[in-house]
Amino acid sequence: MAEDTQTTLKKVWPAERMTRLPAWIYSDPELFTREMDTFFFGKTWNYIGLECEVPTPGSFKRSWIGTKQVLLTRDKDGEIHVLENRCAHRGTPVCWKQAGKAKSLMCPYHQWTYNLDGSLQGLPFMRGTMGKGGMPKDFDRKDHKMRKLRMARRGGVVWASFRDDGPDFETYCGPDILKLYDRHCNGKPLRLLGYSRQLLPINWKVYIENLRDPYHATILHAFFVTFGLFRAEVKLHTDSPEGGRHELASTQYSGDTAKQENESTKQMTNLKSGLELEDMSIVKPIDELKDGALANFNLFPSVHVQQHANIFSMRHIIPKDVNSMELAWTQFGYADDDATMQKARLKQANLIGPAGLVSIEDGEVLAVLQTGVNAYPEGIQVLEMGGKDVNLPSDHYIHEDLLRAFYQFYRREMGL
Amino acid sequence: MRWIEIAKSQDVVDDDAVAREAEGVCIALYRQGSDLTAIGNICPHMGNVFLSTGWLEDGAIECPLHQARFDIRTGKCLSGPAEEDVPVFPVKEEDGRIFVSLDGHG
Amino acid sequence: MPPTDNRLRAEIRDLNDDYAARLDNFELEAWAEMFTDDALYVITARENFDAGLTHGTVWCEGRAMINDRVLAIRKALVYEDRYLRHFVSGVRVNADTGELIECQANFMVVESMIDAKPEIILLGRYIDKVQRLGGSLRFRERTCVFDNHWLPRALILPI
Repeated sequence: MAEDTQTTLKKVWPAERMTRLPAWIYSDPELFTREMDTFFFGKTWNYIGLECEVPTPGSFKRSWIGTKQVLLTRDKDGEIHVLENRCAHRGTPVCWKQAGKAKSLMCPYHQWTYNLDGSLQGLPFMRGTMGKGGMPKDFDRKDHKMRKLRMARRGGVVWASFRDDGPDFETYCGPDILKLYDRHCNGKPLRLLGYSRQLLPINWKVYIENLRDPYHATILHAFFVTFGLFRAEVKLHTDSPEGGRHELASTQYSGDTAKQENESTKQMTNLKSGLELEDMSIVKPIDELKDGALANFNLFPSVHVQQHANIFSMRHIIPKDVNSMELAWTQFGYADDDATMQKARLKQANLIGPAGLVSIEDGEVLAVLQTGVNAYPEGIQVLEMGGKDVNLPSDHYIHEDLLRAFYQFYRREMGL
Repeated sequence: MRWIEIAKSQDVVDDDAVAREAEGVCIALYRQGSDLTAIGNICPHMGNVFLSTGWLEDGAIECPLHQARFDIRTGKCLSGPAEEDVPVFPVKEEDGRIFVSLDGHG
Repeated sequence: MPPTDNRLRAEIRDLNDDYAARLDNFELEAWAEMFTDDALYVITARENFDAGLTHGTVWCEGRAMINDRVLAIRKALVYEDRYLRHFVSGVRVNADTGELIECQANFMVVESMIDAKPEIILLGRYIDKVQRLGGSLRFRERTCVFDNHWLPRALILPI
């Protein structure tokens, strides 16, 4: 046996660095811990939530940065904060609710009580009782707070970083991402529509890869193809800006030509053609952004920001451990949406999410993939579709350049 | 005004809080020199805590639980986390006996 | 509350049993027939429902959308084989206006797949408006509110 087996596995990157991926990176707990430190807790900006999720003074909402729980709050003066959900005393998560409204946050363990900006209001028996016990004379409540994280807000979306010495949010995003970001998160007040959460038994990178894999989109997600809605001649613009860190994809949609057949759609539809939707409303967008485009991007590491027709979605990537992650979908629209637009967003959302007609297979296939890479950590995966290096931006679907770009970035950051 | 006897004069001394109950209302008595005052004894923040078990300093009583502070003359909340004041009750002292009135406090 | 009409409650129980049987037997077309043409069929998290948020993980308005989902499950979607069992209990009739019966029931959905122990994938309650059409009862509205914090890796089949 020339190949490593699990028990003797050397954790190295294969010699053909650009075009080969070692499978052990999806199941190694030590690597996972390093990834949390390097990416989620490193010099990055992480998705926290929407400002409209904490609409009034006293509102709070639980969120996550990687495996760490945080709180999005709005204090009595209306200021927004991102706090570690951690009592300064013994480390208990202070807030036990998913969302709500409160005048103060009280840790249930010893009732240390905090303002919504994280400052400590008070704690029981600070001065002891009956002249005994209590905190030392030099104990100052001002020194003990729920840690407030560095925060950025743009277009109604809240971001945070554990590090104070990283780049500012705009620099971190870079101009290409910001251009897409500002298309729909443009400062118009947002309206929260709701959440769908799924627990995926996968390593978080598997999901990141899936977002950067246009090759699978046309093959695995058969819904559009089956119902004659996919047009392969439409150009897909993809890129991986900021040195492979982020990913973006945009394309054009035209409702008028959605049913046109040509050679490439025939080729794609194979034997499955001839089916039609009874209700076309879920694939008939209202061109509210006036550019006929569909655009989405992975703002690494924590979120995939999606605008598909009138679906606005934040796919929050929340790693739990090396083998599992939560994918939390936050659906939103604009505060001034009329009844027609509100209904259009609700209907179109059937395409995405844990039961989405287009996205349903992702969780399914990736979960199966994870069982494979867990069992064969010595496996080596091939990334040669579209070439052996990185040629981006790209204008078609059939390539893996985004994956090669990502792993170039990943290896550099992780020292692999 | 209806007066209710709740303490003997000798019970209430400087720099101490005296907890009493009059018809179900919890009251704390404070004396500072010639001033005798009676204010509500339950912290309005949370937890039905007797303020009288707290820390008395500079004319303010501090709740033992979360350090909300109240002026012992006016009942006014001086610092968080409470957002309300505690009530002040009329008080009088006659023949070595202390009386309070609950008039207007239900 | 008015006294429970046992005959009506028995009818609603039968309706739920029939509904569960059709799904458990993978008779998806027959399942879709249990809805009125203008039906609203929604699967949503308790988190959304309690906060009055309108998004549903599945949100079908009208039989056409329900039929389209059935067709997609049959012809387009890619998924591992699985068997579902729906356990429906606690059927209650909350109001009966003659035309519409407002009722509710608890559901537990257990999914069995290859190489895995059966898993409770969803727990929650149906909140229904049932319409009498001719001799039979159909769902005008069925909102499936699940208590789970997380959905499983994919919610393929109807609930």
